[in-house]
Amino acid sequence: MQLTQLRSLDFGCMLGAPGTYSEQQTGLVAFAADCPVNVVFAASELRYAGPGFRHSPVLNVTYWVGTKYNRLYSFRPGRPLELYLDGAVSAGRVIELEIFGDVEIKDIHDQPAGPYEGSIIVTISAAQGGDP
Amino acid sequence: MRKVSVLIVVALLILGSAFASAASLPLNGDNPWHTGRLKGFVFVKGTVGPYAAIDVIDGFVNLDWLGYEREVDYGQAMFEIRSNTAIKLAAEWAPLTTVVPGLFGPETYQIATNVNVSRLDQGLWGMPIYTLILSGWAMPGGGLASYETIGLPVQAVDKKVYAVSVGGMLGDIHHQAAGDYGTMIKFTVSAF
Repeated sequence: MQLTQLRSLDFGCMLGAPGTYSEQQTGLVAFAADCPVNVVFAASELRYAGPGFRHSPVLNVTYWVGTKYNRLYSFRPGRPLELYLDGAVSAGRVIELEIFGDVEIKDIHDQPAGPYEGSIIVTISAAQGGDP
Repeated sequence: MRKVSVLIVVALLILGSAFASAASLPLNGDNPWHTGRLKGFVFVKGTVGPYAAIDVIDGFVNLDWLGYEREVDYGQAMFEIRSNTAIKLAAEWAPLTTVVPGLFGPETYQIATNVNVSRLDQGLWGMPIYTLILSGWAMPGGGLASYETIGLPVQAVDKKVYAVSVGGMLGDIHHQAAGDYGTMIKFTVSAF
């Protein structure tokens, strides 16, 4: 197995008004494997990274893997996603998994203006019965 | 003499902007092939822009005068501000005004108009505390009055209710015509 590309997910500048904000740039995980694999996506909180708050507020974020409108495989902080990939795996082929996201702002004063940061840990392992 | 003023509080949104950038990440380690478990990090970032909204709770003030000299009447309106950053507040208004038919055409009369804005805070045991944050007069013939809060921000990441006390003080009896007077107060919120 080999990771070939990781790209950060960026929500850009969100207005701050109540609403749902989609990513400006999708995240990307690309890897090659020669056996069926499990891919686990575990997200940390998308947390306020600016000055002035002892307990950093967090944003209400949902991620999903796949396409822009197919949200079948979703995950969020505290609720990881595990995918089993076998049919797509063949020797030498690079598999790309695109990560989308939505941030929901319910009220203006629920979160301070400023930068927010988080991460998604992607773990790829050989599936049981697969050839490691 | 009965004079009625109508106050419309205008809610404005002040939007800020921020920027964000994107970055690609390096590959996971130098060794291209792993036989056990691979782990990579996809970093996530975003910026919430400064934003505020004014919601009018009670946007009309009715004032009545009998018409005697130096008579004063006050009324109150309310609005709420929600903000995600430190803000200041500005207000702009003209004196209470009426236009009546005169001997040589329409004649305009104005009344000195006082505006006081107070923030409602919670005191001990939930007792309301009103803190005056903005006060000023628009005088007859003086055009628009513009005031802005100074010193500390009026609020930060918060939701607060504000009381707007509006008063009109007559001059001498003959300084203003009998009739209906009106004005509009415009409030603007901006980042501190």
